[in-house]
Amino acid sequence: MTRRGQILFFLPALLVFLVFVLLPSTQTLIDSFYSHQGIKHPFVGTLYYRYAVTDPAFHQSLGNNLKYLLWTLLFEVAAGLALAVGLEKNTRFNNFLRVAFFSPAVLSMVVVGLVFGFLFKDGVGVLPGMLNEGRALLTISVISGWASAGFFMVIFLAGLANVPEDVLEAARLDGASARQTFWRIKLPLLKEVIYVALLICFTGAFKAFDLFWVLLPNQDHTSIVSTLLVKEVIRFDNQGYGSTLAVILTVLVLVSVAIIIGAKNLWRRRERRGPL
Amino acid sequence: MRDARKLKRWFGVAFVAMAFVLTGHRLALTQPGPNHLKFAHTFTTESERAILDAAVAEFERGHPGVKIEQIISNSEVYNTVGWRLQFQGRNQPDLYFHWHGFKVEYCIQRGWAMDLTPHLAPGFLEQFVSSAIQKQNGALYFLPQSIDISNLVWYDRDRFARLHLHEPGTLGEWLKLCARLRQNGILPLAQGNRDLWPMGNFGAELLGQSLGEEKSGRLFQPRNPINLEYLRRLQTLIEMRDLGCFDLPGVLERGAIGGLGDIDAKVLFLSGRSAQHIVGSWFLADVQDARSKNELKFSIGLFPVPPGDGEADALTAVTTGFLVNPTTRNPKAAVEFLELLLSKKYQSEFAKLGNLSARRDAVEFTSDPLAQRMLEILATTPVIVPPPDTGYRPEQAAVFYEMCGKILTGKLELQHAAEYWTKEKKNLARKGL
Amino acid sequence: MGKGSGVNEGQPMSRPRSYFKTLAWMLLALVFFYPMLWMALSSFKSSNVEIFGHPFSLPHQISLANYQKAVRQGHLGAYFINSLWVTGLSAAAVVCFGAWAGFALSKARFPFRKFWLALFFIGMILPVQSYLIPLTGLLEMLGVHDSLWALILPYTAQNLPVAILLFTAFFVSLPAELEEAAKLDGVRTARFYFSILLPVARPAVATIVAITCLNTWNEFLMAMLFIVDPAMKTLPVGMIAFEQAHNTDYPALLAGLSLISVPTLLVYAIFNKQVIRGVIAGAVK
Repeated sequence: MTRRGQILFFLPALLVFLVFVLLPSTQTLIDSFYSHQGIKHPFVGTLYYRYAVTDPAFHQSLGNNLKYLLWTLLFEVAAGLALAVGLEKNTRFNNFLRVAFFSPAVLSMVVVGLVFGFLFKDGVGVLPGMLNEGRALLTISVISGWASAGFFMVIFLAGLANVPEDVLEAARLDGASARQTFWRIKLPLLKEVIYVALLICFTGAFKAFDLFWVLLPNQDHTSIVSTLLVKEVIRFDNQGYGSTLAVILTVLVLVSVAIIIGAKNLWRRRERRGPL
Repeated sequence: MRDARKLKRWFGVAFVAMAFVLTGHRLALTQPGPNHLKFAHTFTTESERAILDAAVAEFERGHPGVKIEQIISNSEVYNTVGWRLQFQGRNQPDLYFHWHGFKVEYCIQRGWAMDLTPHLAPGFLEQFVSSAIQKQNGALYFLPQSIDISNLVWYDRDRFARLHLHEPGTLGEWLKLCARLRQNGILPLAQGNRDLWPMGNFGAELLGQSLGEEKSGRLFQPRNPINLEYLRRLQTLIEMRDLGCFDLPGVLERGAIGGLGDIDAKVLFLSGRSAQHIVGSWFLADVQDARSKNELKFSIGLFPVPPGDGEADALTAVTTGFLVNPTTRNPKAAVEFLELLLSKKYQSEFAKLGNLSARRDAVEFTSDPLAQRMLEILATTPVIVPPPDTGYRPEQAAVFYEMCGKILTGKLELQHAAEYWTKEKKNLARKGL
Repeated sequence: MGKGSGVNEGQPMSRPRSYFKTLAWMLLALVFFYPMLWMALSSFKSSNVEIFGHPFSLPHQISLANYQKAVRQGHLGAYFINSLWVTGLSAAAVVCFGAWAGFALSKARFPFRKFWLALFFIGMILPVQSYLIPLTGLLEMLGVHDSLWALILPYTAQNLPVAILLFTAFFVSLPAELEEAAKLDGVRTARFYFSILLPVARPAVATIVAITCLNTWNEFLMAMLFIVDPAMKTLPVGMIAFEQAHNTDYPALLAGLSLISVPTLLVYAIFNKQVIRGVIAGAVK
């Protein structure tokens, strides 16, 4: 294939990506330095960033994002791991259960939110009171776990399938219990997959929107950065601050990815040095 | 083998081609036509929609070729998200509903509303009470459909009768009545404040009663510091909460008010789980819906939120109505449809659902006792204040709504409320709002 | 699930502990499925009173009236077709452009190859919020706002990075002889691409299709902000619109929810191997 042919093949994807992702992302960054009140759009510098540092609503939303992250680590990642370990054996029954537990992951979060909204309706629902203040964030995390634990289970199952059979056989011959095998052998070998799961869980916790919007869009104890952003832009017509929040959210996602990848590399280096 | 694959491929191609022929028009970039009018509104009950459908049908009969498409959304979303989003559309609504006050002003300023005077039939405006027709620099942008009372106490007449309770005239009497209800194992009020406006509007009425129109209005102006003296009356929220007005074991647990949607609260009241429900005049349409479906098992009465001792009674109310978008390709048809909708025929139908028409002949429209009562309340209440989310800037209203929600759930002490509000206003000012 | 299935099939489960375990798993699965079950059952009930008065009971009678109402008043048919077009065209564009770009980037001598790969990696993790707000204006400038294209184009862009990275990895793993042989046979690039490369890349294509379809079919935020015209709404937003317009008609709403869940669940039930493989590949990349 010629050089020109290669570039020709590459161009459509690049163009779409440039126009619909990179260009608007840059525009968001620019917008965050301008006020969008009224007809004129004056430059305001870092005003919105300085405001965000002290904005209680933003603090609360970010705090909720972090709490949600911790809960989803438990309800999505840990639960997914538990399911994967429990259903590791390839029996027909386990296969059926795997398919079953993954199925909520294909549902739209809007459907999930509306259905659980019904189930948890105060006064009329099957399990009332779950969306009350103080409990709502936990409830949303549990729903999230319900929808996504199967997804993480599938990832972990793929990792477990790669654990070499002879290592397990050796452990069995050494008389290792199931628990020992899990903690000593399987978990360390699952490291790669765990990094991936953490990456998805961390970025997912910042990107979350649908469930929060469908269930409790206006209460501040369930406000997260992405719902706050939409509220600023759409309700308050304050595109400048909304853009600032978008930039901050993006930075948070990128930083958390960088930290996880950095930790992974650090670990790997230490390990390489370790056995010597 | 090869033939089979070829056949399969042809099948695939044929299928996609057929799909394209049948439904591919959805991919077209449509342009608004002069004979297709989009009408955005918030009438969601079946009773209201029956009237609208009849009006649309009559209009379409009288204007062959012209079609009216209704875009229906609920008022919460329309008021918070839709009010700006709908003007981002490719086919923006030709005519649309709105609340008078800040929202209408905003639409006019943005150029989303047109002067209707050149298209109006002569004599049309004279059919309305003059205060409802407000011209700006000689231009008229807004035609009134109804005056919505934002807070009314709807109650279960049968329950009241059984307990020998009467409509209260003062706040003190009302609170006593609520306590009696609770002692008898009945949830006094089903209220859902998930979206903050229900109890926020109620809070605004409390301020209106204690401060009057001008003073309470000033509270919502940007950057205006708040004096605690002005907020004393919000104590009622706390008193009602502490009395257990909003919760009852087995029906609604303590604190449920913050997680419950306004619609859920409505359903609770209509299904007989509470004795009272505070909501606006538009609720009569829901009552009619429930009646027509035979789901309502009791008779309903209503009274205005009683004033505190020595206070003038005040009412939270807003005029609703319609505007026409200047982008419309057929302003004449749009205005003619509005004239039909606002004619005596349809306004009297709406009146049966609690619509308080601004037409001069409105008193004759209905004999429904609840609608009559609303008209009477409107006519006799000396002070009228707007509901904050339509009367003032949305972020200023949101601060107040959030504050009421916090006071109600005990997250904010009343003595810190003024401080809180002033600080929030400063915050808004700092981000340029 | 890389291991060949059926390794342990037929292993006797006679011990009481196994029975207990099986029972526990069944119970867990039941709890897990309860919300969906409740949704489906309640959608046949006749009124709000029946749903909430007897939340655990079976419906008194199976009637399809709620479904009729959901389809007729909720315009679910139109939303369904919109979702189908948006998902289908986005997936087709992602596969097509992604495979082209992946093929080009798989060549070691491609100019700034590392830079592009890094760029698409960042593109993959970028949250939608980072480009959401200005997109409204951009789509209007391009004249495609409030049409299905206002979703197809951003969805394509959003899902391209994963596809490009996956395809690049896939084509890199292909033996170089494939292209050499084709060259010797005098096959031109385009022919080579369509009749040799794409068939070989079928597993990668299936993966990309699975991920893209899942993402776009269920996408809510952009669809909510970019589509105003009720005739152009996709299923998730249409469902919300239906909820808002019929806010107290719970049975009809639940019927609508059940109805829009059926296609996804059905497709998943049939293609679960491909979907799961796609999810794993998409995730681990």
